[in-house]
Amino acid sequence: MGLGDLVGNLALGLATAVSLQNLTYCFLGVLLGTLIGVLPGIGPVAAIAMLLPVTYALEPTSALIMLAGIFYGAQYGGSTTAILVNLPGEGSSVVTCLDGYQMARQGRAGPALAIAAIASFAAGTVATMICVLLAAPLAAVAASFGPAEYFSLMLLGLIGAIVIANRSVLKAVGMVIVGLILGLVGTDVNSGAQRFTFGVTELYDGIGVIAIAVGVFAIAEIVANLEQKDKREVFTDKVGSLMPSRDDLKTSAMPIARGTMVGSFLGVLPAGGAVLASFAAYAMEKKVAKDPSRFGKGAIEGVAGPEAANNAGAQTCFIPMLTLGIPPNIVMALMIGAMMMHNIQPGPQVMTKNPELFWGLIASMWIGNLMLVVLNLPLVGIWVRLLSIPYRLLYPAIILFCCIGVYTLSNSIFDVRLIVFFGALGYLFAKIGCEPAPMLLGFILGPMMEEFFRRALLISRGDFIVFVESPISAGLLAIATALLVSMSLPAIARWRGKVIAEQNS
Amino acid sequence: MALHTLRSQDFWTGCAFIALGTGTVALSQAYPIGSAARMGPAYFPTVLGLLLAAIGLIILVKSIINAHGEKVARIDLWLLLRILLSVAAFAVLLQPLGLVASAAVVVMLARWAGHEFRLGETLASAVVLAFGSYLLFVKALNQTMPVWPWFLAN
Repeated sequence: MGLGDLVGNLALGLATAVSLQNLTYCFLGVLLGTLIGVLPGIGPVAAIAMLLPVTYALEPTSALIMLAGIFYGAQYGGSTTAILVNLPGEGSSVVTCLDGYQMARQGRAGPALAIAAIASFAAGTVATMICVLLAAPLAAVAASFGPAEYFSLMLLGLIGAIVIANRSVLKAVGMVIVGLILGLVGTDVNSGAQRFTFGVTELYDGIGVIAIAVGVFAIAEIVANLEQKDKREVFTDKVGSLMPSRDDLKTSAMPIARGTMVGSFLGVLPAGGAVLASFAAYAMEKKVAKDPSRFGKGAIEGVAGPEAANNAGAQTCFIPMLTLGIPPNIVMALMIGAMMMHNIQPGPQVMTKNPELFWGLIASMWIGNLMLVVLNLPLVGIWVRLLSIPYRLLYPAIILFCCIGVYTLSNSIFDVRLIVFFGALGYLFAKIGCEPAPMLLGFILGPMMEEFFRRALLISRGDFIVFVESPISAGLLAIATALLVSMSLPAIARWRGKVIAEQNS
Repeated sequence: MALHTLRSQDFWTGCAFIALGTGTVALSQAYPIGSAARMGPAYFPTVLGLLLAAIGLIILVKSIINAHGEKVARIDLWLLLRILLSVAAFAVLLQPLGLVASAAVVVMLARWAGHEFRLGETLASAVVLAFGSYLLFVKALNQTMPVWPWFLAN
């Protein structure tokens, strides 16, 4: 692909994204996303589930632009809460709490918020460019993929999810398999048999992904939040001057650059994304710092690096979703669900069949990031006031909106009943140390994997050699095996244990 | 088996995985299994169920050998049930009572589950959220659902 195509694509994307309609939905998305992200105890999954009905009536491009805006807006709002209340709105801002909140306690909340905004915007800009540059070549490679390659790639994605994000590899594998089994419920595409439907008509089309996500994330999380009475100390009136000093900017420049690189790279990886990116960036800043003991005591690098990384990761995780149709995290899985609701089959053909959607979405991410800066810095006072809303007023509203959101997906009471079931399941699984994220990834990838697995073996007449015949498939499987084997080596297992213990401390 | 094993997270994870795995295998025997080349609908679930049960068994055995694993945190079943009840109320009440009344019930039940009930505030927020969701979802977003109780409709 030549430079001309690239410019043409970008122009098409920008033209799509700056139409009045799409600008409006992008703005609405980042506004609602920030609003929800600021409120502690609501993550992007619940945010998207609650706001999906808002996007039904829209054109697919506008709908996806708005959903993307909700996602990175929520991410952004989460950092504000992390800095001012020491409560991470969601996983990726856990690290921002460490130094951001300390800065706030020292009366430097303003500069912390400003640096977070600058870091996010700079990283978002670079990451959007990376999306533009990588998308076309990746989609071209993906277009040559057969069923065996797809199967191997998804397997690698699942194993990546297991290895990277969880404490116990064995438990995570188990949860992935539970998800794969849940994904089998419904009509078998090949034989037409009703599997595990227990005669329930509503299950013939399978279990709705949104109902599961709302159950195991939103509802189970509310119960967990209510278990612990909250002790919040809010620095609402101490935001002070937003302007970071010249010195702050100078100290932050390199961390922002490093964070952007780390975040962009980890975002593309299957199962990478924003959470891992911010942890990695924080660890890296601590490593390269002359005086690591300043970290955790209000070091501005500890805000700049991770904030750049999580925003970069939040942008680049769209790449595998858009080019391969493979979601690297739960939010991307919900985006795929939204695409399918609008009758767009995810995969490498999206770029050729729906170029406005593809390039418009990518261009809108940059515009959305610009809006976020404008929205957040001058208006930070409003967001701060939101923080004083007590949780007892919030969670009934979350429950209600989740119920309505899930019901309106297909006007199905049954889907609301599924929330009850998966809420209980998610809560109990969390109690025995089983994380729901791998289960959901398994659930989403399962049906696709079975389909590709069967098709590959149908072509090869049942010969398993098909998975290692093509160099791409063999290579992907080799990486997957290497990852799994390396986890059982004692030295690496110890190192991994240490890293994950640090993350959780 | 000592008492501390019964409190370990891994012990219960193992049990849960074994139960789910064997359950899946048992249920999928109702369908033809086929062969690798022409897989029947039972092929994939049987393989997955066996794998899950095997993993569950390993986790279970490890938890019995190693007694120092993490303990199951306190489970607040009463809280869980009340929150789930508020969701279930929506499922049960929406058709007969319509959105406004069911939304109010959901909010009140949810508040009852938490630790700060405050009657006045609960009633006020129930009214606001009930009419607010009606205006947002039905009026502004044009979603079709029953709004008023059956005896008031038409």
